[in-house]
Amino acid sequence: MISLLVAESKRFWARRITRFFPLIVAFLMAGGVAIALMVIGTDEGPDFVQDIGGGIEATSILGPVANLLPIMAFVLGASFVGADLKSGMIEQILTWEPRRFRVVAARSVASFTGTAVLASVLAALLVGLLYVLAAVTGSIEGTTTEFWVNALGAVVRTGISVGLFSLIGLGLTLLVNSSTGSIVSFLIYWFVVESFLLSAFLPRIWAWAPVTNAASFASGADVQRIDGSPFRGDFDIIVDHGYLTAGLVLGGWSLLSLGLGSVWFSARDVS
Amino acid sequence: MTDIVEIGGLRKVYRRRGNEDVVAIENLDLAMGRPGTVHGYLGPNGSGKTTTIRCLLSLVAPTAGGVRVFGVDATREFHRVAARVGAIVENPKMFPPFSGRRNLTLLADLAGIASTEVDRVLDLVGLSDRANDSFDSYSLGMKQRLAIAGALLKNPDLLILDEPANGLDPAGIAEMRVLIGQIASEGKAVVVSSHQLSEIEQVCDDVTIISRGRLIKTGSLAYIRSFAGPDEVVVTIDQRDRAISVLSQAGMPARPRHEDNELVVTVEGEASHEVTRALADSGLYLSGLRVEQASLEQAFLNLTGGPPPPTSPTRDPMVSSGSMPTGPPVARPAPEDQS
Repeated sequence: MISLLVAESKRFWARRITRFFPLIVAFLMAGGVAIALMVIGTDEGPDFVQDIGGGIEATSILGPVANLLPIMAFVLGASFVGADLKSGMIEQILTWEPRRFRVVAARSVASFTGTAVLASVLAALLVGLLYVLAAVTGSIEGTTTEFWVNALGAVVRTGISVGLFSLIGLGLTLLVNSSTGSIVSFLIYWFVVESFLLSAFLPRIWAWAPVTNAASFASGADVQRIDGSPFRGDFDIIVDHGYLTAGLVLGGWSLLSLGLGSVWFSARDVS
Repeated sequence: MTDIVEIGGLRKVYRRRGNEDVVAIENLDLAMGRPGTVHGYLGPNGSGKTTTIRCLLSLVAPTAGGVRVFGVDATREFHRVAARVGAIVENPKMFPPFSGRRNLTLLADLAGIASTEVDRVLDLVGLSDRANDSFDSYSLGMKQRLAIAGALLKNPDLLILDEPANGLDPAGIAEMRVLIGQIASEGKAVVVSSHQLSEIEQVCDDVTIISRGRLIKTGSLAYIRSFAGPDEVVVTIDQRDRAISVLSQAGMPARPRHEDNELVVTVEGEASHEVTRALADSGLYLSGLRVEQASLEQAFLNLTGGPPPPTSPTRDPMVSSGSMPTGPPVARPAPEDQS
């Protein structure tokens, strides 16, 4: 099992997409901050603790870039097994290690740890860039030890939530037998089903959806949802559950996807 | 010596939604793979060769029956013998963006095999010079050789090669034959699946023929060849029509061939001296004589009732077959023929 884990980890890090996708995300983050530095005048920028720590203004500029992390994780997880299925290399690997649950387990560990490390590094980079932005254009007052501990917690939780997303991608790809199919399905689900349909029409279900809970767990914020009818103007925003529960919910989604994918992969013919 | 692979009552049906089920293998009973020998597993395209191999490697679950490899139920516990079995199934399959060396290193890492073994097998298949090039830049022949190198990495006791000559040029095919012979000479059992019968014939000790998922015949190469009919003697002589008459009177039916001055006499190869004697007794002197051995291909066609292949003669001239490299001979007792 150790040999299998070593081999899968080496393969994860040897892949071109593992190296280039994070570089693109880092480039977009740096680009976003560079634009912000040019657009925001001196003394008009964010307060690092109040604004960025509170998740407003500067993060709204960089929000779309930060959204790339779960997409990156899903693509890395999905393509990690998808490359095998597409090239047929899975046949070769299964003649070396026929116990398919072991193969999936080793891949899951490699994918989770790999994407978690990458996402943590990128999240730390984002914090650093925002610190520079605030230092140049706004204020960095109040960056106490407690603040940095909380920031470190957010970085680690981001890594974990992104790692769990890679497992959802991996499991779904095993289930549908195609990385392209699973990635397209995920994007449609995220941007159409979860972000629009569930959020607008089924907010109680939306509160338990994976992306919502990933964002909550990573940021440390509660999952809030609409209670009532926004179409009649009769609604409140209420807290559904906290960020730790959100982390468990995301973990549940990951296990469900991975479990279904593993069972299907173990039962089906490889040809 | 006992066979490493024992197949009993194997049946595989592929279920297809909306379409008729496909019966790939039907009640197959077979034993193959003796140490130090090469077993040809032959059949037309779609006859179930690759499905059998997939069942053997636990890639596909049989609908009924089972496969034992080294005495272990391979359909359930293949992991117990996986380290002793090297295989390539159908086309060579590796990660396209990775180099040949990296692909093999990944496989070696799976089993904790030293990287020096990677260099050894790369050298063995003649890919050391291109080892650092990406797999997708390789020709089909090079990909095939790399896949074989991958299968040899484990130093397996049983090597299964599915269509190993696919995509290889004539020189590559000859090298492949030498390599297969070498592997067998080291005491390994080699099972080679192919539909290229002339290639298999030059390297196999035993042969199994299947068609439409059913066993047609299995046994030694000589046994299977016996279904091709007797050998033929080709005589080159000036007075061809008179020679045909003389030979017919001597009880050796002969027919003219399209080549000038050639005629074909149907006798056992060992009786060729009878031909020369009959002709000489009548004052006819031949300028050439060669024995054309009944080929595996003809036997295959006779057994399967399949259409003739588009290329290659159905009889192999012994002269040419003897000149091809086939690796060192392997001493072994004659196998029990089965049918």
